[in-house]
Amino acid sequence: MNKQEHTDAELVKHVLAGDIEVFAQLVERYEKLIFSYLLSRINDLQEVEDIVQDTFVKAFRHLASYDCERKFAGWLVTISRNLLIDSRKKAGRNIASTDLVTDVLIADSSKENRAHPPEIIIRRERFRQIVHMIQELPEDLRTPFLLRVINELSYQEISEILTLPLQTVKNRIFKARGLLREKRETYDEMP
Amino acid sequence: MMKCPDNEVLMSYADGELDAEELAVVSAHLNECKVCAAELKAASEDSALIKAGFDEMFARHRVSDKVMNQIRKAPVTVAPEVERKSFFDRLLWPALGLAILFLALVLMMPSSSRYQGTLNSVSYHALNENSTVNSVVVTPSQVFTLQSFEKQTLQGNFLFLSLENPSEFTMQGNAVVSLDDRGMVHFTEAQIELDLVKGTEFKVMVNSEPVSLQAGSVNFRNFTAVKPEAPISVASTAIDLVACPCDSAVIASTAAESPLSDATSGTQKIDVPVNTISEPTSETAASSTATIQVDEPASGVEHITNPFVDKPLGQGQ
Repeated sequence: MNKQEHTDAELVKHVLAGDIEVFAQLVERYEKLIFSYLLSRINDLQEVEDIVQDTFVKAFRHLASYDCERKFAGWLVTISRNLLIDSRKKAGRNIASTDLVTDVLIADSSKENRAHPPEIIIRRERFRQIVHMIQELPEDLRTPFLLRVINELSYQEISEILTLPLQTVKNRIFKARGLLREKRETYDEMP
Repeated sequence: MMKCPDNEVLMSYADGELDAEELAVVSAHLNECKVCAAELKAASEDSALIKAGFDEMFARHRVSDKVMNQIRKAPVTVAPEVERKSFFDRLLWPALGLAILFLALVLMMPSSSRYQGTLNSVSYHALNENSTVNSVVVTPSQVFTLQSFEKQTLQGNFLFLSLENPSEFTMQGNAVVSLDDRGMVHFTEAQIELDLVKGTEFKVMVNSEPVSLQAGSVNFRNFTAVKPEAPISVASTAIDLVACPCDSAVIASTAAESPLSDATSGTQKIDVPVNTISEPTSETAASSTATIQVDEPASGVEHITNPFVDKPLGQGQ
């Protein structure tokens, strides 16, 4: 099947008809979305990766129940949210209780610093600061904000995927940006 | 110079969420106001930095290959709880409501006039887009109910649902289907494969012979996809009927192949009711092969992705 020519519903139909390789197109289409959604809620990158994988495997197993009237991305987000809840119940861990993303980034940057010119090091440090600021945002602001920035989704698309009113999505993204702006100013004023 | 737009409008501009009129106004303002332009630039740079950083992180944690490898190991989709709930919402609950109402009406009737037969509400729907009912192509969303003595000609893949004895089974092939006054489903002129996917046992009639579908072990089939170069000749195939420890099942196989090597030879296990088993005379064997073609090359077994069970059909259990 030629990529980019088929709607989600068409791809789903092909998979259900037995052409399972077509499912790869759906994974590639939404992998980043689910990654960024989970990243806004989990700090453990390995856990994010595991749940992204489980989300798609579960979606495949339950594809027969997918309602084509519904947005496929929203359906995937629901599955990943449920898997995340299950994962938390099993592990007894608290969501966003660690600072592992930052730790990973620091580790990555320190590991690679030796091989990169100063401007890359500065960009990485700036990124680390911003990630830290984002982590300090309330989760309900962080998720729509990251979906917007990482996936460049429209407010309407985010509204449909998170099943939130459009105005709520707008407000949360504005609020997230406002808080980040305040944090940036505070950060920039620090000696 | 116009008044500076509030931050929401500025950020909506950055996100491309303004309509044409607002866009023109803010664009004009940004050409004149260095403060707003700087604010927009800082926000845009932050967004670009976040996106680039997370993109880099994402590139190290792609899962598409892992997902596809995992799927290829067990390429079967199943209907989850969600599906069953929606099915209840859409069909079963209304049907149960009607059943309760009907029962209440029956109980209010004088006992002499009550219906004494076995009621069985059986409905079915297609499992793909190519199936036909009475030569008309139907979609999986169209649900049909079997009415007593009303015959319907089916061709393709269908899922049957029985409400009385909660069971679901699939039918693949061609058949005329009807319901008798005892609630028994009849398949006539049938070249079909039946599989019970929910429930423990379900009895049907296939070409006037009783067939018991049982959970986990039954692949009833009276047609096979035989390769042209290796046709199965009824006349040249001697059939052994071997009684199983379970009293209701037999394994049929050709004498030319190991009778129990079903997984590798393609021999299928077929459950048939006790009353159809008789002495393995040549006459019995011949009549069995007339309706149940039992052997086929392993490569001829059609792999079916069944959305309702956890393992591939058309293979040895």
